[in-house]
Amino acid sequence: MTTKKKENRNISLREKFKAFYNINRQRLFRYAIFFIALFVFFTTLVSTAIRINEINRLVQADSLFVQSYDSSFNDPELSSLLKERTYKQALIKLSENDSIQLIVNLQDSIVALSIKGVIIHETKVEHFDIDHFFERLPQMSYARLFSYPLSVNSQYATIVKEPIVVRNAPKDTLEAALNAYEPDTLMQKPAFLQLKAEYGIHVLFQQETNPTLNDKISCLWFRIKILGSEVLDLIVLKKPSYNSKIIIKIPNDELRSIYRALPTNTFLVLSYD
Amino acid sequence: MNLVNKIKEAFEVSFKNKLIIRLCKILIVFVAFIILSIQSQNLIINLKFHKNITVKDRTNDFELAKAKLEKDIKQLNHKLDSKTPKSHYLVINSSSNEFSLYKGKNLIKKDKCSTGSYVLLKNGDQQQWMFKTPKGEFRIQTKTISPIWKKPDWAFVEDGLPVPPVNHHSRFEYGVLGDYALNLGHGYLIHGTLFQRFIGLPVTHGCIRLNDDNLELVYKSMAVGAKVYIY
Repeated sequence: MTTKKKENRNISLREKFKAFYNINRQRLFRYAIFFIALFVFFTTLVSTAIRINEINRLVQADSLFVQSYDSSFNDPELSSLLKERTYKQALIKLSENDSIQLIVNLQDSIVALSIKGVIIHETKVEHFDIDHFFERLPQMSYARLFSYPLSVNSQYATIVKEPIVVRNAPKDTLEAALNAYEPDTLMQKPAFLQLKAEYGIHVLFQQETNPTLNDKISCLWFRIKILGSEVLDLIVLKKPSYNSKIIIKIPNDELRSIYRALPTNTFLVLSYD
Repeated sequence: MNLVNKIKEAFEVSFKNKLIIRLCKILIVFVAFIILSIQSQNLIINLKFHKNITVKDRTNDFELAKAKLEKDIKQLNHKLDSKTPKSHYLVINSSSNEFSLYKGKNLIKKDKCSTGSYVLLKNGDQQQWMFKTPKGEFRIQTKTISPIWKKPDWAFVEDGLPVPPVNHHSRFEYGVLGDYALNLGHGYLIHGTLFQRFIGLPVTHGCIRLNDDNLELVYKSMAVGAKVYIY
């Protein structure tokens, strides 16, 4: 008797819920959207605050830097000189590294490759965009943050790093003559590159022009993928992190040369006005 | 006019169905939400970064601070300049198959060259060779006039020939490397080629091929110990 009662109660509860859902479906849907939006909104704000706190703590923790930093350097008129010194300090530190590294100098609109202090490749940047975060960074934080090369934690590109072609050894000279290797000079995939550096600094390289439909689709797909990964982080409730972005446009072949030259453990020197 | 009327009708029907109105509402809310998020984010950035870390006023003098920065920059520039070789050095771009010959900061010559093909040659499961040009900083180890090529095993495997003993006469080929060769170590050379039409393409087994004129220029300019940067 008691089990029957329980079953009846369960059925009635389910029915009640169904009826409630059917009546208030639209309202529930609106509430759900509202709460998701609210969650995303607060997560965005909190992550921004966390990132800024992290940078402030980094500056404060470096007692040597704080001691050597003169408060007069905070004068806005000294900004360009301070930034130039910071850039050169980072270049000196970068030159201690044995492998090829990346320099992004937006003051002079240049992207370069360097090895042991020697510039081996230079590209003029025609167009770039930087986030508000970079503009608001105080001079002191700038001097600390960018006087060291930034470690690049991950690289994602639409082109392959090493265009390896696997070939099996021919059995005889006849097969060798038939399978003689000829490079495909027409292979030009659209080039897009994302570098995720320390402190949530993301540098996005895009090819300067998108002449074909394939280029345009690739550009859109690249952006969707990046946005998608950020949305996925939110969905899986990953620790929120604010990422500041720099978008740089350079020619396709230059981007290809730069990406293929970079080692797995890349360091990046960043400078901007 | 018919087409315009048709579009108008279609719009009216859609509006009756409230589909477009709903979509517009969602779009407006979405855009408003994004704008609100970005503005709030910027507000947080402005507020949080406004609090500057306090440091002890040491000079509090604009001119002194400016002089210090200028002095530091001069010293750093001097340090950085000393990193660039004063004599001849070679830079090789293996992606675009180009070389640049410099003396100090002056570009002497820029032209096409050939670098590794990125072919991975497999000889069953036992052996494999990757034909790529290594990247990094190298030095000219030795220089040779009229170099002779001692063919390695892969040269025979690639041609479908049996591999001869180590010092067999069939391993030695004359004239195929051009008039000069500059040794970068680990078996990698800068040399000439009989197949000049392939210059500018990724076709080598890891070496760097130049045309006859450029090879002569590079050979005569680069001393033993001179630096070669490959990327």
